[in-house]
Amino acid sequence: MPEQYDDVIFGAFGDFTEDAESTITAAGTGDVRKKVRRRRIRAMVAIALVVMLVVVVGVVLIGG
Amino acid sequence: MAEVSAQLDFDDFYAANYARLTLQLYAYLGDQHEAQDLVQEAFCRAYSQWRTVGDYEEPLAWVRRVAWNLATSRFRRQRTARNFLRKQREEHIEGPSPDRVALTRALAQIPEHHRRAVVLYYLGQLSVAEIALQEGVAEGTVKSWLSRGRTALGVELTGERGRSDA
Repeated sequence: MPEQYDDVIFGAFGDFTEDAESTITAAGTGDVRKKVRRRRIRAMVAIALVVMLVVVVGVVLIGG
Repeated sequence: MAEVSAQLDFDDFYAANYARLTLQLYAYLGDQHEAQDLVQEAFCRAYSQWRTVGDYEEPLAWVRRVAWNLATSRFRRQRTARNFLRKQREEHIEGPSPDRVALTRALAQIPEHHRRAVVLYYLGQLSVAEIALQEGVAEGTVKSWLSRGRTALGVELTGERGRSDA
């Protein structure tokens, strides 16, 4: 009968939550926004570089 | 204007759910900082497509699934390295309370799937159907994981295994 352990397990998770909750610090949504913005900029730069590379290669091939 | 209200919604959503999700991953991984990083990453992914995710009936289910998937892959990738490092170094930091250690240690003893089911059920307060949906398995499978996980965790927490081995 695994249900016999329900009280023990609920108690253990209750103590865990009570003890750990106060130590959890959220970096905040400002950090989330900053990270997402940084990733978008990085992606745009990468795309721009690839496009430039394709153009340069095309010019060289056509010119050569 | 729509952008501003979407951002406010995201702020509320983040404030209401960050700690809860972190607790679940902390119990699963046994590492609080790792859990915080992964939950933050899940929220980053949600924010980057918040116009879509925010319109879902349950955006929390989406973020939870992403966070748990990240945790599972991180857990599998780093398990070996972490075990090795733990054995090599001495730590002199103020530790968590005995209750926290006892639970995370007991959880670490039970198989991964059982642990996920137990944490989601007891800490995340998800129903069997919700866990089945998140894990992509049948409800019967979740019931079986829960039953085995509950027994194994109960034995670990009550110290019955030591008594029965003796």
